[in-house]
Amino acid sequence: MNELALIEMEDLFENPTPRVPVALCLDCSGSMMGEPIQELNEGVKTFYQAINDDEIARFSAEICIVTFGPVSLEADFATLDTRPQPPILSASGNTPMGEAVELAINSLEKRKAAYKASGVDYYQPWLVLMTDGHPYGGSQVVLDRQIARVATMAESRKLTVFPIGIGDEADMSTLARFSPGRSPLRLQGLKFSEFFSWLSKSVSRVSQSTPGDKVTLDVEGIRGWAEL
Amino acid sequence: MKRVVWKRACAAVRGRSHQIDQTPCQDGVATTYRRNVSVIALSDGAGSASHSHFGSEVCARSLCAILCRHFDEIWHMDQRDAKCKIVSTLHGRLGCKARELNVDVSALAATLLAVAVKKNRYIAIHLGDGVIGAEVAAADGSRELVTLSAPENGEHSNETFFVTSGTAEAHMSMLLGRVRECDRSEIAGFILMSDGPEAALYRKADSVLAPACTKLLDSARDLRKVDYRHGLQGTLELIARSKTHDDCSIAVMVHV
Repeated sequence: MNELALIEMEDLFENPTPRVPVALCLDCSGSMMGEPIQELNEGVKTFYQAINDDEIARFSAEICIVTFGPVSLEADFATLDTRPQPPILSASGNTPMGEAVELAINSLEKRKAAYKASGVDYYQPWLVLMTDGHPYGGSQVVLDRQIARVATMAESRKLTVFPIGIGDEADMSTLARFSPGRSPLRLQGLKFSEFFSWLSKSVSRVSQSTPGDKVTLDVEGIRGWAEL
Repeated sequence: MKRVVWKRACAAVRGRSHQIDQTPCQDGVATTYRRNVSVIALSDGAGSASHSHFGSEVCARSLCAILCRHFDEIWHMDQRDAKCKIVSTLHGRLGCKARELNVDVSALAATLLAVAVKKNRYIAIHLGDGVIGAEVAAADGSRELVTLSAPENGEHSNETFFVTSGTAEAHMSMLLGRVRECDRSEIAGFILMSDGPEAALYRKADSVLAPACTKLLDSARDLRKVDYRHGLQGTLELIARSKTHDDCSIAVMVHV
């Protein structure tokens, strides 16, 4: 006990740390085979490691990973103190982007409902959408519906969207439709680790913000991984 | 009828994040007794507003002045008009400060919490996050902590409402009540806290105040004013060190 304090530690409540939900929606289609998927796995590992090393973000950031080729929820929302290791991602199949985004946003909505039910505060959720190609092998109707859904959420500040293109074949115009306020960025080469390192720092900033804080992105840091 | 004397105290400490940034504590606290009105007030400056430490100081002091001067008027007014009067008076004071500092009034954004007591009546005012609590003593002598006004955040954790927001009046809550009720229960103390200590003294999931609040109110009755002020400061330093990165402030008022 602090000798001047009028109370003891056991008189205090332990409230849950406010959460930063981060959904990674990652293209793992056949075209990502070889070096790209290896670099993506390294990048995700870097992200987990950096969040794990941050004393606040470790208990605050909740990461969800949805992949497409086959649409799969590789990891549902959880903090790294409960699930410290990332899944190993493999590449196969087509690029059903709409279905993948639908799964990611549905998982996010479910998680937000769970936060509300248990009185856990949360920051504005983030969606990172990465692809090296054009949507293919999914439904156009689903894709259009998810584009409208995500764009509306972004416009009403319910979601922060980071659309990232990988390589020259990435469909930047479709990515742009998901995020009316923030243009998609193209990754420099295969600098996944640099991107995820920047992302972890940005998540860390958010996790430390208090009411009224305006969280600004490290624009200078973007130069380290994006083609500008 | 026995004369009730209200003992008042308040303190604020800078949070770890502001110590690292070398920025000032953005919480402002004030207490006053004038015109038979005892008031405690607290205001938490917005992190994104460049001069909010001035704003919170102006808000806390002005709330005390407004409630002392206009207690009866506010008590009898239509609530919407009363909120409008309070917000416009605060905007006037903030406008003067903004001109003096040569900044926009939005640079002074801050939350509001205050309780004023005059004889058997109290007025509580709340805008934004932080908590207003009370200790209610029943006729059988038992005491219970109750949340008079809970924090109002936006959907997301780092969003709340400030006196400079366009929606300030709509989001301001104003409670008018009696200190002693017909069932012989009475309010024995009030506590205001900013969102810093809220992290340790209030459980959001069920809107319950921590047992530590009872200790803080008991100590306010038992200790000499100067000792209590040191103790309150020490308590806030303990919370700021162990439970939050944010600034911490508390104001209490107990009857003795």
